[in-house]
This record gives sequence, structure tokens and C-alpha cells, in this order.
Amino acid sequence: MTSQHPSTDRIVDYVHRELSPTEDAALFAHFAECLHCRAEYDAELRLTAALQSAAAAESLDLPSAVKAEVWSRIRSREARGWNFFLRPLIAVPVAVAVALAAFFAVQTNSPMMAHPMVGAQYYFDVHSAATRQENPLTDRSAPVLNVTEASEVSSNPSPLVDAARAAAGDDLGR
Amino acid sequence: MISAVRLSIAVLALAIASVPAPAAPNPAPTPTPSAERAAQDMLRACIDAPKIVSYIGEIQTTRWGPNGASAMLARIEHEAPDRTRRLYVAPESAYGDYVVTIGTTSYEFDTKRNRIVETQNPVLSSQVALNDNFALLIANYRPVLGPNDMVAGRQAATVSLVNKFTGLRAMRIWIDRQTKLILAKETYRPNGAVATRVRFDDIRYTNEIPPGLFATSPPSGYTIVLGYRFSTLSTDIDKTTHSAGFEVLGPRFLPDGFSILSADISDLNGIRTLHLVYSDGIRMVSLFENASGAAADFGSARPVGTRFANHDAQYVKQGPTTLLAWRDRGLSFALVGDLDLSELVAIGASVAP
Repeated sequence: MTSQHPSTDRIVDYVHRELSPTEDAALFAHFAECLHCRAEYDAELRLTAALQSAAAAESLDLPSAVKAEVWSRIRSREARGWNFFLRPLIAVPVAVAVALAAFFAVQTNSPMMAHPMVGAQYYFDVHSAATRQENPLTDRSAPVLNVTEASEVSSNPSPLVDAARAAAGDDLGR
Repeated sequence: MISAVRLSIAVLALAIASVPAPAAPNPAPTPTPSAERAAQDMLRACIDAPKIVSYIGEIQTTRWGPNGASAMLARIEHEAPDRTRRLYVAPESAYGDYVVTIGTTSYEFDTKRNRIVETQNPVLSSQVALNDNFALLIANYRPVLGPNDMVAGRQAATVSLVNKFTGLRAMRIWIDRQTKLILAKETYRPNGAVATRVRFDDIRYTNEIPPGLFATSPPSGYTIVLGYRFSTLSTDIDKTTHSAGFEVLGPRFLPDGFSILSADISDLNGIRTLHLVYSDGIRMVSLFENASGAAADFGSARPVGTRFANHDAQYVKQGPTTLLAWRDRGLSFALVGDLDLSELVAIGASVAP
């Protein structure tokens, strides 16, 4: 592949991930060595992105008379709707519920919203579990000493978990 | 006269024939098709052995890092097909703790904190996937029968798994000749160094295991804590990636023999994370990605900075497993596997649109 330049069609297929894994890897390697093909690939990428954004932005415009009629009906319904919700019997409980929901949402979400992170140990544990599922030579009865989901345990892992992480931990697993 | 000449020629021929031939270089063992087939059958049998045989024993696990080693010792009771208890006796910090595994559920008895951590892992409910993965292993690794050996007083056959692309031995297992149970296993790094060793120090086959050993009801004063629920991995990669909710990127390069096996999506603390699993039958690589901007939190570990393909990345090692994390195009990536860092970097650098 490195001595043979791919056709534009194949580059387009590569952009859209339509090639087999072997062909895909071969083109990836070729682009690393061939500036000419790399440039063509980059151009195809830009073209694809432009087409996608154009498609997303594309919309059909309704005749202005129809739009005016639609908006007029929406506004009349909104007015009726707000009158209904502004009745004290409805408005007071709704306001209280919204305030409570906002309070608890801020309490529970603010740390995570500020610093969303995933524990590295979570990745190790899930990978280890996947190994048990997928490796035919794994001892499937071996436990996955995992505690990342349970916050109580996560902050307080057991000595066994610590020891297992320090040692192999998966018996005949790997 | 003629007969004397014939006699001389015959003597000379005998003399030449009796001269030993120059020693041939010692070739790498190439199994005959029948020997390779026998090794494959042995492997296949050892995968199913725990479903058939029950035993009591003691098992030692050692893992070698770059500068040292660590080990665990456990007594093990296994009742076929799927009930196992491991009672840890070393290191001291884990002494007395035990784990009961019944089917897909593990109950970790933390005797120091009087609690039980219940973990679900839907392991291997799929025999089809198991068969596929075994086929992948055989496609990439040549099983080579070695000399017989003794492990825990049992006659064992040895099988090495040699990578067909690199010619390197990745794993060696000792299989009980009678029961086909794996009695020992070693994995190797690319330079030949031993990475892990698991070995029965003692084993006794028996069907008379007291059922009370597998009891999971909490002792008095114990609390039950729910551990992680591992999701079932799907082999429908397209369906899973399309439901990720973001533009998924995958690697353009994988080491020889690797292919994608499965995928799943999890929502950890509201962070929707796609998990792609790649394997060559023995070695596994997991690629995690999310569009929530949620980077890897290394906690008390000390990650090392590195740079590839214009990305500032970090990696941390846990025994033979390495985690490499970076960000690109609004996605946060974590690549985890028992591969060399250079291989992980090559895979990571190829994660591109």
C-alpha cells in the first residue's frame, strides 16, 4: 500500500469507515508516509464536514402567511396557558416544587458539573471484567474485586481489593 | 582384482556413512499438524474443565512489575459447574477475607469492616462468544505442546501459545493430564520476562465440598454493599456505537491479529461512556470514550506525561496493565491494556476521524 496511492473513492470510503479493518489500517499507515494522499484525505474530511453542516443547517421555508397564522395560534394558546398556570391554587405549589428541585439539583450536581471526571480505577476494573468475559483462557469463576460503582466502598476499599490490585488478583485469569 | 576394488569401495562407503553428519542448527520447534491439533484439543478441553471437575486446593498468584513482585495466596474450593470460594491467607492485610462466586455474582466478605460487597459480572453466559474468541485465539496463536511436568503432585501437559506474527511466546499453561484443569499459567512480556504466574501449590479433586462454604447470607452485624454492575458486552458494534449519542472515533491501527470484539455503553455518574474491546485472543485492549469532557481521575496514582499525535497524554501502570488517557476533538479517551506503552501509543495516535 505504501508504494501504491489509493484512489479518491477509497479515500472517501476510508473517511466514512467503509473499508475492512485491514484496508483501513493500510490506508492509515499510508497517510502517515504520503503527504500527497494525506492532503487529499484532509480535503475529503473538510468536504465531509462542510456537507454535514450544510445538511444540518438546511431547512424548508414556509410561506410567510402560513408562518404568521401558526405564530398567531401559538401565541393565543400561550396566553390561555399562562392564565391557567397563574391561578394561585396552581402557581404556588408549582413554584415551591421548582424551587426544591433547583435546590437539590444544585446540591447534588454542582461538584460534578464543575469537575466531571472518571476514576482511573474504574477503567482498570471494567477492562479486567471484560478480560474475564472475553478471554477464553480466563478462570471465569475468579472474582472481579471491583467497587468503583458503590461510592461508599469506592472511598473505602477493602484490604482484599487493595491487595488484589497490588498482586495479580485474577488467579488463572491472565 | 575386481572384487578387491569392490571391497575397497564398499569399505570406503561404509566409512563415509559412519562419519557423523555436521550438527544442524537447532531449529525452532515446529509442531506437526497432528501435534498442533492435539494441543488445540487440549486447550479446548481445559476451557470447559471447571464446569466438570470439583476440587479443593491452594493457589498462588505472583505478578512482576518493572522493579519488583507482589503475590497473593488463597485457599480455593470449587464445586462444578459454577460455585467457588477463595479464602485469602496472604498477604496479611487480606488474611481471612474471602470471596464466594456463584455464577455471575461475587460476594466479597470484608471481615475487617463487617460488610459484603456484591458484584455482578455477566461473565460468559454466551457460549457462542466463547467459541468465537477461542477461534480468534487459535487464529493468532500457535499452540505448541511442551514436555510433561509436575504441578502440585499432578502430571501436567504443557502448552505454549506462540504469537503467529511475532514468533514470541505469550503464554504457557500447565494442564492436568487427567482432568484437563489448568494447574499453572505464566504470561510473558515481549522481551520474554515473566509477567504473571498463577500456580496451584496443592490440589485435591473431590465432590464432597460442604455446601455451607458457599453460603452468602450475611453473618450477624454485616452490611451488604452493592458493588459495580458490569454490563453485558454486545457484539453488535454498530448498534452500540450509534446509540452512544456522540460521534464515535475508533483506532485506525491495531497490532497484528487484533480485531474488535464487543462494545457497551455505561452511564457512570451521568457520564455516558462508550467501551470498545479489542483482542487477539489473549491480549486485550479497552478503549473508553466520552463526550462529557470527563477526564481520567488518577487519584493518588502518579501519572506520567507523554505526547503523541499532538496530544498531551498521561499514562499510569498497574502491574502489567497500562492506562493511557488523552483528549481530542471534544472527546476524552482512555486506552487500557496489557500491551507495551509503545503499542498503546500507536493505537492511540491512530484514533482519528
